[in-house]
Amino acid sequence: MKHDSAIELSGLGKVYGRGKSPFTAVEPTTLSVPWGQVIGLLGPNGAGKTTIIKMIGGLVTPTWGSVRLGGHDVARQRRHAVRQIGAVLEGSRNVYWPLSAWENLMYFGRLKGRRSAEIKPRAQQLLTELSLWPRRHQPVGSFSRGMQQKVAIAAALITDPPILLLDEPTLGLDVEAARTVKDWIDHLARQEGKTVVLTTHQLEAAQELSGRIAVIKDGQIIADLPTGQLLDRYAETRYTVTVAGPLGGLDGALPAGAQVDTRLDSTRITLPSDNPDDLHKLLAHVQWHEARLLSVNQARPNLEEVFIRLINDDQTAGQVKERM
Amino acid sequence: MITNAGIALGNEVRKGLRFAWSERLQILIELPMFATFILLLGPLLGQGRQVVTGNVDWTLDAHLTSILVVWFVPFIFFYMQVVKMFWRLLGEIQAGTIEQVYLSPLPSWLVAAAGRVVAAFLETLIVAAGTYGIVSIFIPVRVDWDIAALLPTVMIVIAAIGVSLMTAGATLIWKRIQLVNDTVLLLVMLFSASAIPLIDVPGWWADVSHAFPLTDAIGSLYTALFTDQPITTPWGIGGLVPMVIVTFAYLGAGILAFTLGERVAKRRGTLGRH
Repeated sequence: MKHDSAIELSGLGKVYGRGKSPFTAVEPTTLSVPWGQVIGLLGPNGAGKTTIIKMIGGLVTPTWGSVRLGGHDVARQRRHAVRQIGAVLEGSRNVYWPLSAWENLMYFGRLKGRRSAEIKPRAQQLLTELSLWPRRHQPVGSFSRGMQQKVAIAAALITDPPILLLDEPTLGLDVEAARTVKDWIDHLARQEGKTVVLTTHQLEAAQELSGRIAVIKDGQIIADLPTGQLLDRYAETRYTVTVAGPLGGLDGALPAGAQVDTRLDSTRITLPSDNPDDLHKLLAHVQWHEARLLSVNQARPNLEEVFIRLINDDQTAGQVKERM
Repeated sequence: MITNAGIALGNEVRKGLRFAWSERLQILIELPMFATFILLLGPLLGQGRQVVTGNVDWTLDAHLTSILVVWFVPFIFFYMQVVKMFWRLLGEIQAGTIEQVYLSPLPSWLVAAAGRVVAAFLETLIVAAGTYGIVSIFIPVRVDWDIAALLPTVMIVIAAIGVSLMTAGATLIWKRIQLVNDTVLLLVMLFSASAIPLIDVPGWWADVSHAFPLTDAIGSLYTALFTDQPITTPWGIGGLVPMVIVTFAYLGAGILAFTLGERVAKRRGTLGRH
């Protein structure tokens, strides 16, 4: 019988070190991820994202709490629990560089107890879909960073696990390679219904891919909401005013905190709040200075802005959570 | 589970041999080095005075060289087993692939320890056999092959596995332990020399040498291959009792050290960190 949740963290926490200088990497965290959901774990460096991912995979022993994958406890029923996951870990090669893409996939398939005959069709499918088939017999060390990351993703998927742990999968990739990896994650989530735990510093990608966002700061989840709700919660309507040419005399008319983005032939002004008086005053000044008005828009904050606000706002801790 | 274990073991052996193949040039360079060591050391045995006077007779004595081979080839096997285990594991830690290996649903002792042991064993066997073969080209290695030699041979393999697991456990925790590793290997070699009648060692040296993993097994191997004595003599250098006790003590200590190393690394979160 399929368990309700793909991933369940119950009071999961981690303290590194002992004695005089213990460091709490993850405060006790309770979280449940349903099947098929893509959850983005966001946070600054050192926030505890990788530790959480590694505790989910059983690579780091938690100080408190437990992890269940598909209902199986990672500590007590490791064999069944680990069978549910594939992972691409941050800062690792994930695959063997001296081996070819094909050898890597066969190795990791067998490592999970599958026979060669069982994994060959899947390996062929993955390498073909990731455009690696023509170079399948070349050593992975000779591949570009993007291609190596594709092999790592293919290796994580070789046994078709229902849960994927992706820790910074686009780190160090160029724009094109990052786009390919992102598209592939999207495909896995939407077409194949995989449950994905994704950490990334590319917030645009996180916003696009994740149905749910959990923001971690100092080892504590300070926000955990469906992406849309999180954006709505912080959706302060702001106005952007774009005028032709440089700012000129408008400089003195801007309210405190306004952001100015000067471009080649235009200037975009983002007002700091949704106060319509500020907008009216600015528009009056535009008219007064005879500046050519190009556009006035309502700007909805993106995930990056929400993230920065959450991270910089100490009062937020523990407030933006909802039972998922 | 047995099938899975077989697949995992085969998988690691295949990977180990594949890596060995990619390092074939290095192995080809190492092979003559070991043989050269034996061929150069052979003529010097028992020629202390000649060495001092500078009148060394560079001829090889078949009997002495054969004894030297019986001492040194097991040591090469032991050395390679421990060193290969260390460098391969360190390589995986540095590359980060060790964490992927630990994501296997199969028990970690099977994929991270047993598989590597078997892979290193096969690779090492090739090097040891190659060394034996090269020396045989220059001088006939005269040993009276006896089935009794199987027991000390198995003990050498088990002891090597035990020490390589201890090294692996320590590598998981401290990573760069090559200096300690080299020192231990050198001590094992020096103390195991008291098992063969080539070098006179003081009594205390002989007593201490029992505690080292190869001494009694090599002593027993010497008894089986060069004397008419049975290998079942319980005590003394090469005695059955110290050989079995010391060998299995090292295996037990190896399993314990590996398990402990793994736990500490997971607790510290340093499994894939170097």
